[in-house]
Amino acid sequence: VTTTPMSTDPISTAPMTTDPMSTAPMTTASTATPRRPASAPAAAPVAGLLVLLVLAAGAALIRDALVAWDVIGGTAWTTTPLQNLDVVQAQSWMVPAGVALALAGLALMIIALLPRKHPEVALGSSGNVWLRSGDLARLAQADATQIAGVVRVRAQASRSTVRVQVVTTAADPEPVQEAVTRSLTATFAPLDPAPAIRVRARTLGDS
Amino acid sequence: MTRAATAFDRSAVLLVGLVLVASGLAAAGWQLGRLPVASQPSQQFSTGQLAQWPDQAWWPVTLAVTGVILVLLALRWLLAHRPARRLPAVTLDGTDESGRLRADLSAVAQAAATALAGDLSIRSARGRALDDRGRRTIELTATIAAESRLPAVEQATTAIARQVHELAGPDVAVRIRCHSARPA
Repeated sequence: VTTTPMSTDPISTAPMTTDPMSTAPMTTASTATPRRPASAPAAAPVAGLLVLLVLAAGAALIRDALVAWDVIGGTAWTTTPLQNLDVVQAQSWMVPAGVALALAGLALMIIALLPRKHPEVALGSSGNVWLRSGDLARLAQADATQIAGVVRVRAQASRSTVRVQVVTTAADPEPVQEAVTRSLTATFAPLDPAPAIRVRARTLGDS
Repeated sequence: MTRAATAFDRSAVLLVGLVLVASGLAAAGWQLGRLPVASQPSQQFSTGQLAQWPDQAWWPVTLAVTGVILVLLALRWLLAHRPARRLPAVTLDGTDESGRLRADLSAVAQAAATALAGDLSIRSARGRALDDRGRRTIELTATIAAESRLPAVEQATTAIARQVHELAGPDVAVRIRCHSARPA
């Protein structure tokens, strides 16, 4: 069995250039589409905490076994509370503590079932290219800054909406607001779905 | 993180939540005298039997075995959270008795990242091959300038995705995640 140079140099014979006019045939629906980018589920950090608790509990039990066998000195942590127990009876704190415990449990159950977040928006319709929604604000800011008459830009963005506040030197902010809106609409048109654009312009010096 | 690890995380958190709800309701129900086994708050339960356990011969053995099981479970659980494992090389079309044709996906990912970074609309890029929720995926992460035009970025990334498909085969998905640098 022979192996081609592919294993050491995967691009030696491949046209790995960035030339968008490459003559390679267009790939179609037969290619695998990637999964949509997703954040880790909300349950992941809680699970991390549980791992540590399980690890600590296991270590404590092993320690107690070693204490019971007189391998190490000290008092067993599990034995003492068990031996001090004699009779258990309902206590007055059990209602508030029980309710708090049940609410905490309910919160954990909700966290366990929360769907993953998808903080990225697709660029184009191929499903191959994604842009962080937080970065839309940066693109919007860079774009709006280039519009004539704009001196200051503040931008916020979510996956569905880009909000921009601009300050202009023009006495009438209306045309600037329209120009910024037009430019941002064109800039974000390749996104799928394209976000809604909300622009507010005010004249420098006006509050 | 694999789908199995995610499912295990969710199940474990759900189970702990259920146990907390059940014990919380039981504690409150006991004080209110609503438990079937304790209809009066004043009802007492003797734990005399329990207090004898630590004196039994089986006690330390049980502690040790349970402790080891818990530690092993925790370690296995931790291992499931290690970063996505590297993918084995894929076998390409054209493989027959005369020889195998294989592509190392990590090398393909790095080469694609290098090629992508060569485009004017891309500042830098890095690539890796991973198993994303059961799908073999070459993922490129590209940093674009805030001043970049999205059509140019789309054109460059789509071209790279096409080339990676040609190289690694149609079964390997390509995902390119773009991050924007701060505006200059």
